[in-house]
Amino acid sequence: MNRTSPSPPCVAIVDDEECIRTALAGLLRSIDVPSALFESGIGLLEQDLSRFILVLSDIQMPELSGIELLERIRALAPDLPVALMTAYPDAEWRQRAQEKGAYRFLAKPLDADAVIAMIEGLLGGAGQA
Amino acid sequence: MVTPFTDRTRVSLAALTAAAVFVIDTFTRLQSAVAVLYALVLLIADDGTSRSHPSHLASYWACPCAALAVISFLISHGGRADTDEMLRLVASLAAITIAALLLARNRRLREQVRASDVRYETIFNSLALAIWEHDFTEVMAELNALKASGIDDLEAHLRANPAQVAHLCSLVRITHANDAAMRLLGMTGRSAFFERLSDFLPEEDQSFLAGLLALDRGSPTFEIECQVRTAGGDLIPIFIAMRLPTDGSGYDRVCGSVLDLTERKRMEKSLESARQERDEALHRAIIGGLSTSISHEVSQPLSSINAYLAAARRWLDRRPPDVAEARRVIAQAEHAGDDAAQVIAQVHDVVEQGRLKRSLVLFDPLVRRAAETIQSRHPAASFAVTAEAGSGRILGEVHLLERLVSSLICNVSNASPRPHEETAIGIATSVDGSYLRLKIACNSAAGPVRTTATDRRPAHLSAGGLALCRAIAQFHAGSIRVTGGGAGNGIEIELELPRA
Repeated sequence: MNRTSPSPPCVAIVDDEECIRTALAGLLRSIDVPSALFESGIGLLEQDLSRFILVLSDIQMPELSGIELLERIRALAPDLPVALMTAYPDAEWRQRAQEKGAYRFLAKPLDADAVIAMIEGLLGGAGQA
Repeated sequence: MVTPFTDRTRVSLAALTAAAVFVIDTFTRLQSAVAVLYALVLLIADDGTSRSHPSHLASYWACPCAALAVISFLISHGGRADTDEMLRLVASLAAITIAALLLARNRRLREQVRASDVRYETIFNSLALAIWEHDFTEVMAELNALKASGIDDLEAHLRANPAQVAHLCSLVRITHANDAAMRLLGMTGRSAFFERLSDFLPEEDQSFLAGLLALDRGSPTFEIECQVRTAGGDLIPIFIAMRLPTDGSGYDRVCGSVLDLTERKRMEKSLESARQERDEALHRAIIGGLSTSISHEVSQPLSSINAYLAAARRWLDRRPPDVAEARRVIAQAEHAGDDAAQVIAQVHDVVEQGRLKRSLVLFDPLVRRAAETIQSRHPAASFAVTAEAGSGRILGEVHLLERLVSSLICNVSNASPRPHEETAIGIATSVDGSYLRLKIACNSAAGPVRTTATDRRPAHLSAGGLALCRAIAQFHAGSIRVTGGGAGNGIEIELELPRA
């Protein structure tokens, strides 16, 4: 992944469930990765997307779904990977996520190790760039 | 007049009478209109039936009798009859004529009655409705005797003496029954129909007592569902309707119109069975639909637990291990576990409620009921309900919706930074196009949730409590939005549900 960030790499966590946001933020803090928490995609889109190395977003959210957020981020920052997570990991959502160019499709309950591995992989790629 | 003689005897008697009258009139010197006695001949000749054989017709005999009267007159008086004798002849002929006319009229009337009887029997037997006729004369006599013996409360007396009721039932005679009644009770011929009501009313029957009381009260009608026993011994459900005498007479001919309810009862049973199957299927469908939402809500705290425990492991894997951080995230994992347990407990409560089924639920009354219930538990709290959804309704499961609204109110109340006695909860419903909205606010909302890079667990809201609320809202194609929650501020919850 050829991407550099001027400041410490930050992961955007977008989920309407506060428990998910705080838990993932705690997980990332345990590997010294800062995160920014957003209740909805609209809040994220108001930010400077260049400071993020990854967007980790729920799919089923009110106002702006994860799929719609992915489409908008692809238009604004095509190189910013967006990993989608959902509690309804059926084939339809998986296919839609793949068609829209999602970086990963994660099923809830999340595999914390898989999330860590994904982020460490991105960080390793960013370091190599 | 129906004579008791055979046709031959009657004709012979009529002829002899005519001969006797002729002899007396011709060969005796009686100064009377003996020929008037020819009217007797007509009366004897008319057999009182409607048969039209000439020998049965009075007119067939009138002409010969009149001729005999004239012949007798001519023989007796020749051409020398005086006025009195002429008048006696005229009177005799008039009597014969009048008798003939009266008998012919009677015959016509009898014919009409016979035709009417035939028509009645035809209608009676061609009806698809079963009808049988009761004779309650003996029953009424015994009831009157009971009351005359000093019994004021007939109903209480009869209820206390079932043997007497059974005896009264045995006094009811069945005097007539149509073909439909025969078929209903499996009879093969009219002569074989039950003679007494007690012959086909089951011993455990309670309807006869009701009928006795209706007779005693002088009710004009009596209708009841009961069972009767067929000739084959089968019990069949029927509906019987009677018009009862109210003027003290006619108890010997009380008709009962009877409807066979067998088919209706069978269909009712099938319908009830189908209804139970439908309710069961609907219940399973609701639980199934809800379970999808619930599994989504349960997966949230489980995801949190996974993340916290993974973080704890990493804090402990550090060299040196950061035990304080590990303890902190483990504590947060415990809270998340509590949330998951809370969701599961609430789901258990919902499922335990029994049958779930959808119906049209008026939104405003639902919200008011929930607020009143919570108010009763927290009398010091202040609830201001503004119900503006009008006749807005939701197609949903009423128990789930009640739990949803109650939980949301409780969540807002519990999230208040102030104690209950200082908390003012505003509850407002409204209609927004095709949606119904419920806003529950505690103080004023402080705006959208501030984004934060912290992993501290928020203090206000119970994720477990809202999880089931979200599941129920989603099940009803609705959504929940929570705003506020900043330090020192209350929160606002908005529920949106599609309008039915």
